Amino acid sequence: MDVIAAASPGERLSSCAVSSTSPRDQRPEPLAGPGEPPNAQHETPQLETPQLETPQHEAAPQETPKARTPADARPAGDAGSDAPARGASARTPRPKAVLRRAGTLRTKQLTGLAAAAVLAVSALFGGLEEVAPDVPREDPGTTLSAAPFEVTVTRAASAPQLTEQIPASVYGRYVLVFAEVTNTSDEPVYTSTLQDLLQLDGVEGLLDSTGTLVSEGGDDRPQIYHALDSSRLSVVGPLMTYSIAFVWEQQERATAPTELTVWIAGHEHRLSSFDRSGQWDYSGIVATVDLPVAEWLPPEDET
Amino acid sequence: MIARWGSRLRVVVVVACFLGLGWWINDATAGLTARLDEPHVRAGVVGEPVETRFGTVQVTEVQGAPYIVTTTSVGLVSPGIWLVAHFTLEPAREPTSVYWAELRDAEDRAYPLLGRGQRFCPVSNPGIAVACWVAIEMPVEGAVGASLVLTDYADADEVVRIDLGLDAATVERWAQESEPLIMTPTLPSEWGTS
Repeated sequence: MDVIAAASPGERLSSCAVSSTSPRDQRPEPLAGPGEPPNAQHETPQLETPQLETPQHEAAPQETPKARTPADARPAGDAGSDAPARGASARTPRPKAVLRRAGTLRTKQLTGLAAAAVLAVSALFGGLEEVAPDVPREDPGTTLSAAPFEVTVTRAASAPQLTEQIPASVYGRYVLVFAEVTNTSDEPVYTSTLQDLLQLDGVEGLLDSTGTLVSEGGDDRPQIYHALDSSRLSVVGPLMTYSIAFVWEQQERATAPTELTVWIAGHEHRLSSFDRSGQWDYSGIVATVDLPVAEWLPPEDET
Repeated sequence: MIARWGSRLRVVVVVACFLGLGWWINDATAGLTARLDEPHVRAGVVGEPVETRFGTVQVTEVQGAPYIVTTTSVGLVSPGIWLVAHFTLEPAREPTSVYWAELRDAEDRAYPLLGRGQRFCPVSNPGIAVACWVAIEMPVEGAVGASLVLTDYADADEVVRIDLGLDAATVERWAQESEPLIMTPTLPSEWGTS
């Protein structure tokens, strides 16, 4: 048994000669790159559209508006039944007239009206409120709540080779982030939710298991290992706390990181309306942690 | 034109009403549906044969330790405790095995065999008993009063639930074990061959 990282010297167990096996394969699911996590809440800089002022002496001649509706195509002086030209200038349009007019709306106009209605309704539920609040930046070692987990990110490291159970990096080097993770829910939580828990920022040249650069659409999610025995971890039972190594691969020609930022994501439990089964859906970044990156050493070499 | 829009509006309202009614019925009967979907549970205790449609299961021995070693895996250290249940399976009508297992704590939280859990249970023919074991990890506190749920397939409509009869003293003693449990594909120790 090899230990990626012993929690403390007192907890380290004696090695046992055991044949290693290949970790279970996990099917990667394509995601966007780590620099711009797909659901990360960024503050988008507001770009101001320059106002072009056309000097009056350079103003282009006004074009006669083209006729776009039958009503528009009518000759001047025949502006329709609700136009004042026919001597009904002060009359308020009757409801029937309005409805009749509504019946003549074209598809584009109807679509616009529908979109406006949707916006108006969404505004009632906060749809137009400001989004992307600042994500708190926490210190390493701080225990954070990121449903369904409590997570304490402790340190980061990199190395081309880890323990005997984990094959040497094919593409260059591994980048690892260590964390203590507790499942605070009453149900087992599985791989995909674990893999979404941490995302890396500030590391160039990350690759997925197929060798595709994350920046070119490769899967940016890490492999998950139990740090105390280097086994793959795909399920975290209720109330269980694991020392986890989140492991990414970085291409050899990229600069080994000396520091990085970890994005910690939360999830929301939702019930399927179809079969009432529950699942954890990504709900956004809850905090970030900046970490220095040290060279990974086998536990016996660690001081 | 107004009549056409009025007709469309009526259709939309009727469809919305039916959708709402369906949603309400689905919501109101969710508990009933969940109960109907639950598998039939054959309860038992350690040492007692439990008959099911897929075969007869008898849990013969339970062990525990924070660290196990198997011949098919790396050594596995649990942050909680590994519970290892030895059992025999005698298939009833067709060759089968126990492919699915989980531990349940006293609060009925589930700890599945999936992931780091280990299983040994060869397929056997009807009428021929075979020795099996499963190893599943759970929190130390959850092991007191835990049950083992076994069945042939994950979507089976009949499961065996065995009360492992673990008390706090036993669990605490196992949690302090420094030596690993060596799991091999052999018969239970009470058969005198391991």
